[in-house]
Parts: sequence; structure tokens; C-alpha cells
Amino acid sequence: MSWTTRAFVADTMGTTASLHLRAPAPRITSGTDPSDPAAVSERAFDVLRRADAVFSAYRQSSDLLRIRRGALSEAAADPWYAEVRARSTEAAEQTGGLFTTDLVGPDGTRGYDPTGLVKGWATQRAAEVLREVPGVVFCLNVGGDLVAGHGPDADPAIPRTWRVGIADPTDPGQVSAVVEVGDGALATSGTAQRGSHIIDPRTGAPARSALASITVVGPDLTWADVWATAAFVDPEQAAVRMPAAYRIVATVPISRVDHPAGQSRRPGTTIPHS
Amino acid sequence: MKRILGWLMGTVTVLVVLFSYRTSLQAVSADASTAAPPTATPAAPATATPAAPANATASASQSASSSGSQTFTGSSVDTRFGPVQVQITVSGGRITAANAVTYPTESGKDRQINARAVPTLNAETVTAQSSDIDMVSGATYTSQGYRQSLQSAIDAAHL
Repeated sequence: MSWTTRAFVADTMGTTASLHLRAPAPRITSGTDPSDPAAVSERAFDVLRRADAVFSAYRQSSDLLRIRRGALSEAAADPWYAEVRARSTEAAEQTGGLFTTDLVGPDGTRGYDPTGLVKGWATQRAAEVLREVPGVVFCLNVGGDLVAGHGPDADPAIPRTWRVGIADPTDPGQVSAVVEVGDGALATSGTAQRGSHIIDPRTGAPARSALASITVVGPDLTWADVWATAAFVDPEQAAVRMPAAYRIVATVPISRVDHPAGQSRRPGTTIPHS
Repeated sequence: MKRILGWLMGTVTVLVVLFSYRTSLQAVSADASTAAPPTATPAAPATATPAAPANATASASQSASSSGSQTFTGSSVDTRFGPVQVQITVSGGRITAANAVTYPTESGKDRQINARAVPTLNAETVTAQSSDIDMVSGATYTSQGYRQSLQSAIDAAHL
């Protein structure tokens, strides 16, 4: 049978979400058909938009920022705030402190900052909405964190695997590796092109890593994201603590050229420590 | 079916153009900056699991024993860029890393590898084998970063 992919894109949460829906070759659907791809994509994106409204670290009207400045109580906030708060505590505990939401902000004050967890968590929630849509086979990628899955009665002839290119962190137009993902989540953690560093909670300073990025797959994106971050901070500790359902599937090292006679470094590379 | 093929060819063409354009740029810059002798060994390559689908819901039972890491090398597969071998590292009873190591060769003995070209060639090798990449994952991009990203090019093919 023939099937097609339709892509939908939305700018939200400070990044761009890409949703690919695979379906049998197009048939006429009315605009009120709940399986209409455009309607389906909007329902998924609305989940992300709600998360943005609650957790945005930039929009002053977000629950997060209003709580920070005392203009909103946690009890009166969107219920998602409390849920993410609970996940944040859990993430710090499960990772043995390699992942944290207790961070120093741009203003120099330390406080609760869940933005490292929210993107994966919200994308996972959006995926749960998609999993209820009959016949759909989807992959939702929000700024590099993605979930693949399908809804009830999805035609088994439509492939459920997705080829994910892991971007070369030093040149994101390039792909360093390709991972095939079936149902489940994939998250990559690493050095962003500009500025933001992943903090090693044990030192309070940016994590010193021989890796430019590390990729984790598992059943839930919230945790794939958490474990990717934890693994970037300390791959061995994270690998030991990581539940069996989560695996490191790709690592991109910081490039260096090895001389047969020793080790030379290209300017600007980090000396790896083992 | 023709539409799918046409779409596939179009998308592959886009990606091949992207990759080959970049490859020539990388070759130029690498030649200019690499002072190493021609027998420089490869930069530590990007690692990835082999092409078999990495089913995210697989749950093998693993023991969390703290035995040391071991590396295993799989068999070599011939591709048009040369033989590809896969290495895995097992630590504590589970795979913690997988290497896809490419040796683009001309003479068969020559392992001269351009550090920047290895990931590019690796990606080209993989994409040349079957269908193109569906999604891109990496450190988070902003919406502005998305505009110049490979993901946006892929999305454009399906909009």
C-alpha cells in the first residue's frame, strides 16, 4: 500500500516543533474529521503551547515567572506546575544528583529552573495525545527531543521506525551518526552552539566532558532527556544508574587528531579526562 | 508509488546536495588547517548503533555489576565508501557505546582520514544505503537556529 508523510511545524517553547504524520495515501477528509492531520497536529502543538504558557522562562506572564516574583502561589498555578515540580525532585534523586533543576539564573540568583526537564516532559505529553488518534503513525521532534509512536488501529504496513540523524554539534548542517528509533523516545544532550552550558551539579560549573553530545533512547522522553543530561555530565555514573529500558545509543566526541607518536590537539578542543 | 519515489529522490537529492556541498567545504578547510603528516589516524569517530532498529521499548535484563569496560568489534560490512566495522563497549553488563568506524580507502592499506570528513562520509554512507533521514536530534536549537537547520530542510520536503 502507499503511504505518505506530512510534516507540520510550530514555533513554541523557544524552539521549533516538527511533527511528521504517516498515513495511507491521502483520502478526502472533512475538516471536522478528528483524524484530519492538520487538526491532529494542532492538538499536539496545543499541549506544547500550554507548557510554554506555564513554564516559559522568558514570558513574564508564565506561571513560573509569576511564582518567582510572588505574583502567583504554587497552589493557584496550572496543575502542570506541581506535576513538573514532582518530576524535578524525582529526576535529581534518580540520577544521584547528576541532573538538577536547582540552577543559577542569568541574574545570578539560584532557584528552581525546570526548563531542562519541561521540553521533554511536554513533548511526551503531546505524544500521549497523538497515541490516541486512530490510524496515525507519528514522530514529534521538539528542538531535538523526539517521541515516535502510533495510534490504535494504525495500519501495520506503515513503517514505525524513524531514522534520526544526530547532528554534528560543531556543524549542525552535518549529521554525525544515524540511529533508527521505533516506538519510544530519543533525546540528545550536549553543548549548544551558543552559550548555554550543562552544569555539573557536583561542581556548580559547566560540565567538563570529552563528549560534544550524547544520545539516549527509552520509553519516556522526560526520562530520556534527564538521562541524556546526566550522561553528559558523567557517562559512566549515569550508565550504571540508568534503568535498563534506557540506553545510550550515540556519542559524539569532541574532535581531536591523534598522532601515532602522541597526541596533538586542535585549538579550542577540550582535553578529555577519564 | 511513483509519487513516493519522486519524493524520495527529491529528498535524497536535497540531502546529497547538502552533504556533498559541505564535504567539499570541509575538504578545503581541513587541508588548509591540518598540519599533520598524511598518516594521521582518524579522530575519535562519532558513535552510533548499527543500522538495526534501536527499539526504544526493548528492556533487556541487565545486571548493574561494576565490572570494567570491554570493547567488542563486529564484522566488517562493505559499503561504497569502504569497509564499515562496528565496535561496542560493554560496561556493567550493558552497552554504553557503539562505534561505527569507517575506513575510506583507495589503496586498501591507506588509512589517511580527514578528521572532518569521517562523520560526513559516515552519514553519507548510511543515508546512501536506504531511505533518508527523517528527523535530526542534537543540542536544542532555537527557532532561529531551526531556519538554517537540516531539520527544516527535511520538513520542507513534507510540508
